[in-house]
Amino acid sequence: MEIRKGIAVSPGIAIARPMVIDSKDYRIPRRSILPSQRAEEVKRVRKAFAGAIAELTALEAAQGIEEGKIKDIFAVHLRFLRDKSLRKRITDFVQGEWTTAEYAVSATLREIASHFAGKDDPYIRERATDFYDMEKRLLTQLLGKVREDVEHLTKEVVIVAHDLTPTQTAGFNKTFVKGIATEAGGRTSHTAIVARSLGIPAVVALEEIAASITTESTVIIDGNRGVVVIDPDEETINEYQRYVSELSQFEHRLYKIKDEPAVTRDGITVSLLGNIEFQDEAELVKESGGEGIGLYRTEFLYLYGDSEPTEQDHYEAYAHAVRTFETKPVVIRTMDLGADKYPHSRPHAVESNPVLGLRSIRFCLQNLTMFKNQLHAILRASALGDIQIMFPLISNLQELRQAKMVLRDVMEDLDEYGVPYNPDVPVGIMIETPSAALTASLLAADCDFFSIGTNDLVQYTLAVDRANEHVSTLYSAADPAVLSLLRNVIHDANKAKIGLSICGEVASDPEFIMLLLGMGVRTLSLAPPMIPEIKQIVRSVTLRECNHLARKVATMDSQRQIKNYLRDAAIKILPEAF
Amino acid sequence: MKLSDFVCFDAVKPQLDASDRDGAISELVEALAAAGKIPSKSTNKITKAVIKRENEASTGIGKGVAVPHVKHAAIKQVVATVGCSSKGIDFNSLDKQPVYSVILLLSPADNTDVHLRAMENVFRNIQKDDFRSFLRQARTLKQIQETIFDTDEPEG
Repeated sequence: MEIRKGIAVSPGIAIARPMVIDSKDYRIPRRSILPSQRAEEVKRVRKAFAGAIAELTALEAAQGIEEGKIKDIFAVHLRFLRDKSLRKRITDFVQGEWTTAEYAVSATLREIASHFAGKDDPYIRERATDFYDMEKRLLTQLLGKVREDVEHLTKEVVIVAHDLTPTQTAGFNKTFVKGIATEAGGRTSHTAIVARSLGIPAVVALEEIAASITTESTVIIDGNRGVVVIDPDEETINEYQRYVSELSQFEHRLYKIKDEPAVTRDGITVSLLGNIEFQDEAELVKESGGEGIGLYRTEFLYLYGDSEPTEQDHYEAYAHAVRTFETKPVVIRTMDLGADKYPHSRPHAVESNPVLGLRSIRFCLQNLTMFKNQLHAILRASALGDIQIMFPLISNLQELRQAKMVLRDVMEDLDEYGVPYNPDVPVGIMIETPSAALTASLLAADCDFFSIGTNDLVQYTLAVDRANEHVSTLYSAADPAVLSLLRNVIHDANKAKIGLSICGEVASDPEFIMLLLGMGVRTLSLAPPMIPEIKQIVRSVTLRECNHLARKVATMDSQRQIKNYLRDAAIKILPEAF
Repeated sequence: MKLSDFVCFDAVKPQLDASDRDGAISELVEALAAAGKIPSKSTNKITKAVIKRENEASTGIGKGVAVPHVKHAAIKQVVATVGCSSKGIDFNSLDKQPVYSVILLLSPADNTDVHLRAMENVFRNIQKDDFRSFLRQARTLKQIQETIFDTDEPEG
């Protein structure tokens, strides 16, 4: 049994067999075994050979494979794999060096490969590739299936990978993918966000975990405590199964309050909206008791398909959400591409500092055709219900006005063709740069609402890369600098009497809710699976308590002190959530 | 696409005679007609269309710049011109401040793509503090030309 600590990014528990993605290019570290384990590892080597031989035989026999050269290559590989002396060399390595099967395979085959690679004769030199290929094939047998299989899952698994792209994560089949563990990433990396909105338990920043996992392992992913257990003993499994059943009872209780209003004990109503990426998540928000959509991330329209979405693609995605919520608000954020997300169809120029580069609204204002296409669809859908438009990453007033000028041009086009839309569609902005937070009073005069995107705001304020595991501990929304900006924005929004909501991760963090309410926030937009829990917290507190807490926090001078104080307060309110 | 690709220097007004918004728009449209960029017989209609658009929502987006624009059937090719006013013109700007640099952009009705690319270009440039302040200080055609050629140069 091995217990690894990472960062919990999506709650829940998963117990299943692992599927290691991209293990192919993985460097296998040397791991020693006990003498008593040697027989077991030798057996694994034999099994891997048998599996690789079966796979190759099937490939060789498969229809559609080009005659000749490729078949010859497979035949050569087969001959090597069937050669007892190669296998013996590897099993001897295990016996003599006391290492895992993976390491023995990798070390032996790489040694042979480098021997060939050093020859003068180009024909012989090329044989090195064959050995690397065989190494990969055997490691695949030992470590787990390869990526293609993720799309054809038939049984429940947990995904283990170095890192996942948002598109990869979004493509997971929820029925079979029960949990995610990655080596890289941080609390607000996009993998984490997608996992959370799909409701898949996930732990990230685990550092070199893939190498410790074999296909035969059982893996527990504890997305509540940020722990991954490899090959748990029976006691641990039982403990976790008990925990899972307690958790589901808790969730069941939460589910019962889903139709109750989110009102504090002293009668203050709070609006709880959902953050979504995909159109089918709109139902998820509704089922969880959300009163609308506070953040519809539209980038996935661009990242999913092979070509840029058409105006009709946009329209259908938005119309679906509005129809689901009828008269309730649906806030659509215009495309927020760039930095780590780019559309397939537009390979991005290399930027030395992409998060400070041409991204989001800046990208849109320089790609007006693309931008107008989306605005056109949003406006068209605005005839169906309460659609609101939100521009991301606004960093100065000019940008907001330019964006509004473009919106105005699209309205004219619609007028010209007599297409119905809501001419008074509310237009708001994300406050996610320090410059926007500091000039909130100016921006407030030019828009109808603010939504504070705390993830980027924290990253830009504290100058911390949210996905870099080496500095991710510095990343905290509880930092006094961040809280000071939040206070400023909330104050300016209330003074200008415009709408204000929080749509960043803190809105779904049970520890932050009392503070946010105490600071004057009345609308939260969060990942749908977290809505019931946050509602339970809202219903358990009084605004007086929250105000008191917020005043107390304002006097504190360190992130750690604030975080601990918030945690203690939250545990008192809802111990089950921790 | 560069600014100098569609700004008609023959129609640039380093010193606008007009001191009000509608006058400035009409002056710039006429300058474009005089330069042969738009048909003279449509001058009136185009001026009216620009003013109508301006009345619906001001294009004075702040910091002393306004970008009146319209798409019109009488226009064959996207064209722009610049007018400067040292006194400043009330454009009903969003920041309530007078406008010192007016960039008039006229586009054909049936070619949205070229209109958008011209608009993108104008947006990109008026975001630059240097460009705005040089344009505001310019008093001669030559200075305006230099400002535009400089901003068209690749970064450096």
